Amino acid sequence: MIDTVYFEEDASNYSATNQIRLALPDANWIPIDRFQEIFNIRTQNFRIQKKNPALIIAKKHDNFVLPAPSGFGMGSDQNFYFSHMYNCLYDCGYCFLQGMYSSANYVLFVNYEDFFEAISETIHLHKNETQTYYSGYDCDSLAFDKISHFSGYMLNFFQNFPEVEVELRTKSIVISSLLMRNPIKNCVIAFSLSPDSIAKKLDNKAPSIRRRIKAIKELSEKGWPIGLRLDPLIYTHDWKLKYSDLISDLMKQVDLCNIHSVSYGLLRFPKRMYKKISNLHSETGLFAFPMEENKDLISYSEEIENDMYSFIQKKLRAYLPEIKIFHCSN
Amino acid sequence: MSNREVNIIEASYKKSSNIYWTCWVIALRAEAISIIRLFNMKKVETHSSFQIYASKEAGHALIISGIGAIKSAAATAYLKAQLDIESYAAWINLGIAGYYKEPIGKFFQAVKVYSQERNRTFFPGFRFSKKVAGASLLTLNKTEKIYEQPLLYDMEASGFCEIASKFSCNELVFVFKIVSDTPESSTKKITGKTVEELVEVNLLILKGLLSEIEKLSKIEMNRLTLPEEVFEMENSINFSKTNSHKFRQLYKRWKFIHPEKSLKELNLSAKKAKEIINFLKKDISLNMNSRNFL
Repeated sequence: MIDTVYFEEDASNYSATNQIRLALPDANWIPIDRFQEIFNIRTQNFRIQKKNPALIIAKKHDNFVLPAPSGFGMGSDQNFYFSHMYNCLYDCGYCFLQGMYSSANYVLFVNYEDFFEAISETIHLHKNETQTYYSGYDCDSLAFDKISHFSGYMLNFFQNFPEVEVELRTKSIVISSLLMRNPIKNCVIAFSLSPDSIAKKLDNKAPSIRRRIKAIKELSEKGWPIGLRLDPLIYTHDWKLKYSDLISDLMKQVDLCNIHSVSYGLLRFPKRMYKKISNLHSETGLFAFPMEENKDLISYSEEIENDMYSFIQKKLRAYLPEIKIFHCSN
Repeated sequence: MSNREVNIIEASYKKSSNIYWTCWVIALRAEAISIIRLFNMKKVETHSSFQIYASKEAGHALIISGIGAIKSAAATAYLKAQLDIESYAAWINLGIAGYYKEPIGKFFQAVKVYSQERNRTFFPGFRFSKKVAGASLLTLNKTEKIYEQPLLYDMEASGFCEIASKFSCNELVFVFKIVSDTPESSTKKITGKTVEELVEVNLLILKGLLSEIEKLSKIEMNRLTLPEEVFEMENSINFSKTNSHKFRQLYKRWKFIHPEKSLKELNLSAKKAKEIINFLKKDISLNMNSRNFL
């Protein structure tokens, strides 16, 4: 449970802030001027801070919508992402956020309306192209939803723009708010998945794979379009068996017609992030495994890459048409 | 942490039992005396007017800074330099403070420290919210008499935070304050004896916090330090800066694969830096599937 909330005084009158006050009445609420005075300070220690993160409530002033990195999209002409939150409740060993920020505190931007206004403008600007918007790039889209209630606002907004797609990427099983409403056909609920034994080791604090698959099944039965994200692919000596089991299990349990897309991508880090994260986790096996540098990315060797990609592709093609399978490279 | 990780930390800890894990920066002797006694610290001779007390066995060092943020900052830097404090040591500023309300004697962790004079804000320390109440603190250059805002008031913490967070990570810099004066109980009532008593009655809380702080320091030590054999190897062979970096990265991986082996067993002393690096690379590559990397 969050015991301390730092809040920008400028952000104190938003309805989201008021809702959070009701949700966290016993927390110590401390006023601040700007979130940058406490978040991502160079001398902060992500690993220690992660043991008891605080919530920082802030107002975002710019960069509400950003172009998604190349290689991130699922076939649209234009791909964008937006981050109403920085950092995540979970503590996944491979997460790039720990290399991006030196702070593990959660930052929640409560001026939701400003995000939607910026997204509206972007939609209008690219009205002649297909567009996908990604939520959950700098956080988990649903994990904090019981406190932030962001997904409800977001879905209400995108419901009015059926011509564009939005993806909520998550590992969370907090899906009751989704189950209570009718599915929105342009909203993809995308789950990040790894084989159970890998998730048990690396997806700290996240729901088990069994529970994630159960949530996927429930959403799919209700008619929500489902995204399956096998990203990052993690190498182990028996990875073929592990990924084979995971894919079979998923395809058996989820109605294939409701699978919007499946994407996969190797464990990879920008060079600078890798250095920072491996320094934080020098004792863990994930970063002890030999990785190679290729075009400013650190990842497994080309041999492992080719081997894993061809295997995963082959497995997925046995169940799904090519058009639903995507390879993420950045 | 896994048992293996705990064992590694414990082993390193035993080897480095003669280091200072905790450094105290305290304004007044009356605030410090209970801590000096608790850890059986002895006076360290210095060539300055700062008084330092330390116990290598207990792993604690303490400096009496005098009153004021500048003195607190200077004392922090002096203690660091004088005893060559490691970057995984915890730094603690303990002292009395004014507060906007009773009760006298209440113990706080300052989670936000603001200096009006310097217009700087600090957010020191890992928050121990389950063990102790957190509060914001305002550092002033004179005693507060009005207690207008719901804050703690002191005269040192901001100077301490500014300097201590340059020596250890911010999460290992702590400000603990005990309420000594309020609008109902003025500073005039404070004597050396009452200050000593205020600290004494809070020792139990402090001991509980110290055991948690020590755990955090050990985690940080494990992250920052390398085994002695790495330095021995680097000292015996001419490593360039780049090669030293490569060697250290490879060593960590090699050690993960062979936790029981030592570099000595490899008979590498006659080899050149590049040869050692290539040897480790090859060995890691050959043994890639020998253990579970998760």
